[in-house]
Amino acid sequence: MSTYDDYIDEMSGYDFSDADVERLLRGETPEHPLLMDLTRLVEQLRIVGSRYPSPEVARAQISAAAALAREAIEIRPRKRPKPLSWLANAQSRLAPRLATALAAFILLIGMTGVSLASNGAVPGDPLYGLDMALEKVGIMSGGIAERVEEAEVLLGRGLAAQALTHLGSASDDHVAADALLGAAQRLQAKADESDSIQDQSSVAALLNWIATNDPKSAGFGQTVAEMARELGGGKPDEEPAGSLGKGKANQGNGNGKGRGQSS
Amino acid sequence: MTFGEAFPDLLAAAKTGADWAWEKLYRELAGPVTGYLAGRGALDPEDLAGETFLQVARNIHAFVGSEGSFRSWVFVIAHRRLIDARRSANWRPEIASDIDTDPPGGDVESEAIERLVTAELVTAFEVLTDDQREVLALRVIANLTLEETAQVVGKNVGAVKQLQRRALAGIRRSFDVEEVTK
Repeated sequence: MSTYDDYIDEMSGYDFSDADVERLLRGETPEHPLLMDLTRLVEQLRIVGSRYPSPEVARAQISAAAALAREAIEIRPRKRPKPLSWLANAQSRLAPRLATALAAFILLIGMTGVSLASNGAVPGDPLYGLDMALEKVGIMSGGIAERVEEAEVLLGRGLAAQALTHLGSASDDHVAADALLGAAQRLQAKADESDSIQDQSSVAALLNWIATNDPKSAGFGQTVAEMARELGGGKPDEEPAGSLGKGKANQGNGNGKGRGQSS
Repeated sequence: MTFGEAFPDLLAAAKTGADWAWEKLYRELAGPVTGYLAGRGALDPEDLAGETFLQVARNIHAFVGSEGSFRSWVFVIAHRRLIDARRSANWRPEIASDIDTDPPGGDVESEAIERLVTAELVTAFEVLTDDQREVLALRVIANLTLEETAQVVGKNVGAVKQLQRRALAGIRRSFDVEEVTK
């Protein structure tokens, strides 16, 4: 005890040890008799912490928060194009025959904008076809990382089955693809929505695993397949017809993350 | 918190704006956040809790950290919203006077119990400094650890220990004084 107040506490018998205080705050019985009298007060404080907003308020606040997070993630990757005011000044000074070149340049800028916009599109969006076409000709990045991001957006919209279908359709590994498409079918066919949150959580875990592991690592496709087979009430050892041999569960790039992370 | 190993996936899903993830986060934190704000005397704890979650949603894409850090971060935001609300309402440090007049929706019996509970708390908290109330509210109502509480209030763990020890000594002493004067 280093201060006058602590000294007074000590002299008057209120010198509680930190361990005893922790016991009380954790809801356990403290040893100091004077602290024991405060257990009721701590219980009362805990009751205050169990105040939960009304269901209507909760629903509204959850929806608003989710929408805001979606908005933030949609806005964030977009890079604002640099101001083009210098182009207008230049145009006034240029000879008319350069105007054609400028128009072509502006068209190119416009196309780039459309390309960038389409890059954030997911299946079902108007620009998704353009996104895929640009990827095929090598203008946009594509690849598994982008497919996973798109699947995450679909999952965010509550479309877990479509997220899996999208990922399965894009997968080069046919064992993983079969398992993903099979899982998508199971989720689609499920009439009971009581465990949809569990399913969504499991799909999120799968997407997170794919995003954080190297697709080129040994056993990547097999592990994805194993995880997918457990989704939607599927059996872990269920082998879809026409696929290759069974994969080893939990194979990955050895970063310590594996399946079974869903809550 | 209770998410455990599922937290990284839950956080990733919340960053994409998945409704189910926000529902889980909200159900875990709304009670403690609203209770903390009520315990700290917010005029409209539910409204302020809503503002807190909106701020969390705006910035969650930039959050990186553990479950414990996330919880601290949410309460840092709640704490700041509370300070802003106090400033704008020219608030003076009183105890959660709103709790006994405007409890959340529910049955009459539980509301009556809550009124009795808060009346006792109001009396007990009257003897504390604002810092002591803050620490007790974070430790018990928000159920934060010592380290998480230290993060929220911007003090070291030793200072938090001292504040909570003195708070409990102060309350206990006030009980004794009350008994003597009866």
